[in-house]
Amino acid sequence: MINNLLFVMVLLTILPAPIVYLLGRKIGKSVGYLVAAILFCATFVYGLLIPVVEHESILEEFIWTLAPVRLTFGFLADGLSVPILFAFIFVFAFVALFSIPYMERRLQSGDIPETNAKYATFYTFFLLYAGSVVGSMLSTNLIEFYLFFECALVFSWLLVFMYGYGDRVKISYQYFIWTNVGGGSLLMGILAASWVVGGFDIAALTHIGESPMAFWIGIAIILGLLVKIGGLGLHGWMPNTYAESPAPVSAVLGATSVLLSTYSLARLMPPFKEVLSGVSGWFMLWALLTILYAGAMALVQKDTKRLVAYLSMSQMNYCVLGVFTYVGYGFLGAISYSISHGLAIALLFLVAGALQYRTGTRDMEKLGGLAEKLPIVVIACLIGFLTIGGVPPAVGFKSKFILLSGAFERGFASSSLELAVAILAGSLATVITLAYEFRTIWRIFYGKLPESLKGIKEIPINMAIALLSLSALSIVFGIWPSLFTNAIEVFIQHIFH
Amino acid sequence: MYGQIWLALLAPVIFMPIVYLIGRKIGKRVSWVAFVPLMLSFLFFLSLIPEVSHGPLGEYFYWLPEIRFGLSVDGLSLPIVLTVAALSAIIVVYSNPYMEHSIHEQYHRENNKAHATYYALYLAYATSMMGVVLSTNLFEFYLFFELMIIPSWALINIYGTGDREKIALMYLLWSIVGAVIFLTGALTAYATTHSFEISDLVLLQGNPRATFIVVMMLLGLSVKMATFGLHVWLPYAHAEAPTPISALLSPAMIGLAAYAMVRLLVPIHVLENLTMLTLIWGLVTIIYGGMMVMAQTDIKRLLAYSSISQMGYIFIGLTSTTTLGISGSMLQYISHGLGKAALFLTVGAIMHQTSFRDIRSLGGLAARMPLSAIVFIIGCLNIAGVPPTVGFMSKLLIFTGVFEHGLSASSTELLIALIAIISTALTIGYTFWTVRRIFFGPLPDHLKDVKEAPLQMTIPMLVLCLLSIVLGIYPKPILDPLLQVVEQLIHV
Repeated sequence: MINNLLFVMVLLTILPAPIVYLLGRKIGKSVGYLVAAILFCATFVYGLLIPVVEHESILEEFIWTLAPVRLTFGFLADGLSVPILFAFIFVFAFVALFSIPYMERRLQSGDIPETNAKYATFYTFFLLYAGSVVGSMLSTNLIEFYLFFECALVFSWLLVFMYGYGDRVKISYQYFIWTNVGGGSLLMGILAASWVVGGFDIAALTHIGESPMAFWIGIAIILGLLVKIGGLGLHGWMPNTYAESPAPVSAVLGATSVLLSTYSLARLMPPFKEVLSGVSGWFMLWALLTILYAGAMALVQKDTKRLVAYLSMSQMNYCVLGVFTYVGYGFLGAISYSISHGLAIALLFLVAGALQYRTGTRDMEKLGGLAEKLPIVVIACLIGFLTIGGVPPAVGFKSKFILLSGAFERGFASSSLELAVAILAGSLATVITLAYEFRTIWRIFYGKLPESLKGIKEIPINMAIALLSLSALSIVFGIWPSLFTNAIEVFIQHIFH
Repeated sequence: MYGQIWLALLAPVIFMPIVYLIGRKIGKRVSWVAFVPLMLSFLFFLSLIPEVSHGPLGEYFYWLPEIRFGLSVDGLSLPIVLTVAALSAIIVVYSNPYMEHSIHEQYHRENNKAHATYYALYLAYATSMMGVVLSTNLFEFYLFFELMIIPSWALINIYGTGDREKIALMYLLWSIVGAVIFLTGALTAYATTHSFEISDLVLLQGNPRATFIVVMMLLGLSVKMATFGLHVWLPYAHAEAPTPISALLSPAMIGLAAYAMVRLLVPIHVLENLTMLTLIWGLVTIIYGGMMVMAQTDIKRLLAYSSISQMGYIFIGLTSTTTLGISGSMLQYISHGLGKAALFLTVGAIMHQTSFRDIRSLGGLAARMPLSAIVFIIGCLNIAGVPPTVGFMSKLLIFTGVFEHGLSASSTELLIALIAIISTALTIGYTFWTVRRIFFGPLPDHLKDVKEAPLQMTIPMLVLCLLSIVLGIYPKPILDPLLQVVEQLIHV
């Protein structure tokens, strides 16, 4: 194994940023290919690491500041972070590819001047956004984690702020403020935790349960993360931001929300199992209410991207539900569901983007009968929906099934509250999900083709490759889940035994 | 060779991309390529008949740690999977001329892609149905059970008639509702036994949660089986699906729910306590379905309602929880499968030749389409349970079982058994009245020039009839292992 591989991997996604910027000013949108290439390399490496971490974790540590505030600065790749990172970078890479024609159209639409500098900035921030999330998922240290977490927030905010649609300034501030409030809550939790355990190492959290403050620390961290994942009541920013960002940004925002939040919950929550045992059922209920509320909202949307936004919010909360079951299958389900959801949500935002690219509208009432005209989009959309709905052969089936098995196990082991949550999540929520999904397919792709769309052509090749690759990964993982779940299983074994 | 059962199961899916790609080039003739894997699977399962009398065959692998996926072929699953494979193989041949006609009507031009997609989806559908039958694990079972819904939804959505998109959505939602109710039961079973293995369901015997589990699974499966009250989707879906698909949906798919009840629920021994309710429920289904048949004027809707009615027989047979009743209902699956498929295919042939589906504009066709008339009559004999078809044997077994149960239980249950037997008259009544309305009486003027359907349609139809008569005369190779396995399931 190469020395300092993880450090190199983090640098790989951060250091080229100035080059991307400078080159972008010269060559404009084509710099997107460079970003995509960098991210493909990273995808490849994380893919190779998956079988490695089935046997041993990789840990690299550096000393950052010396005493008295001794901070170590480390990177850890294990069965939790590598599969999630793989899915994450995979999504980013293909979104970068997709964005090349999309952003061209976006910048030509008038309200932003189309200059090479605009492309350069877009791809620079895009790469830095990816790099920050990678950093935060590899961190071994809470401060380092938080730093990267906040950086990710800033870069994503910039992307929404500069390239969004509609009232992008207001919406991006809404996003920034909400997530910063969440971040603040997370920071409070982190600082209190480090004060209690006497260090910032995530590994040192193991004994936090002995402290009387542990309960409140746990709550603060959870609230911080629930803002990010759109828990009901904390979701105010989510529909607007997702709907008004350019489609590639919505796609990566969606994937980050679910992957990073689930990663953080799975990484930070196990030590709090004992202290939170009284309330974890209520968090499950909260997740269920979010699933149902957002599902109901999705049923009444007319705008394709708002629909995907609510759908995403609804389904992400299955991960929260899974984590708070605090049983092995619940965790395994939550982590693998976050991967399947990350893939699917990016796919669906790209589908919405591709539709907007070709038809110029996001209003479902103006769409219809497109199955004939856009066969690749309809297949991608169907696979995205199958993944999210938990229908085989997509990977969502297996993840959701495992997650619900965990929920039932927990439900029968504890009170009737958890049981009711498990049953409703398995039945009512699933039916609502499939109802809005297939209704959407019907509205967009079947029925009567409006006159104005008669002459529409299939999407450009870049977009088609991105859509089909994300779909293919969902099916491959669905048929052969042990490709990534073996690694996660190792992590689960480690925390539950 | 280890893995051969998996190979036989997955052969259609492996052929999917091939069929799709070739189909885009050669159009409708790709049905012969699709026929290859289906026929191979059928022949493979046929070759297992002598072997299963010695005991079950199984192949297992670990899909995830602790979750073992397997396929098991025994005296119970073999006849069912054979029926599914046979129907799929026969109907794919029939699809060729039928779909050519219907795709041409829909698109007004040659459309190779539509053919390619149709056969690709068809193969996925066939595999998922066989998977449901052979699964040894609840997780795996549920996987195939849900997988069945998607290709059938797509087939109705793209190739159906009438308000197809809306009906496909309704079909999908009902199916999903059924599936999740079933899932609730399945996951409760997992939370109780900590195992997804179907063979471990026996551990639930006597457990306080067993009743809940059985009731949930029963309700979930009843949606698929379209028992009275949960049947709303069926007449629409089966009437508006493309006819070859109706011929798979109706006899092959919905009956799989009955098979699942036998496989999953019988060993838990809870059904015995519910017999009174389930017998009444089944009886209501029989009579309601039969009455509705009489009221229909659309020939496909008519057959759809008759499927509901026939599912009622299967339902009372298996919930009588006697060896004969259960074996009878499994045999009824086969006879209904062959018979109803023959009827749907004939109706498809009539629609293909006359482009009418309203029974009031039909009549006297026996003179014009003699082969179709023969097939339809044999199909009706099969459904009505008249010898020499296998339908006779299956109804006989069901009634013996239900009667046996009635004699040993209360007089009310005996009464129900009697009514069920008497209501067979209803089946005979509606089937032969339909024969009369379509094939006899005066030939209307607009049907003067009708010709017999092409050979690619009539041969598959005749093969179905032949099978049902062969089995009716010589059911032994299937019935003996079946009785043996059912006996074991009841007495574990």
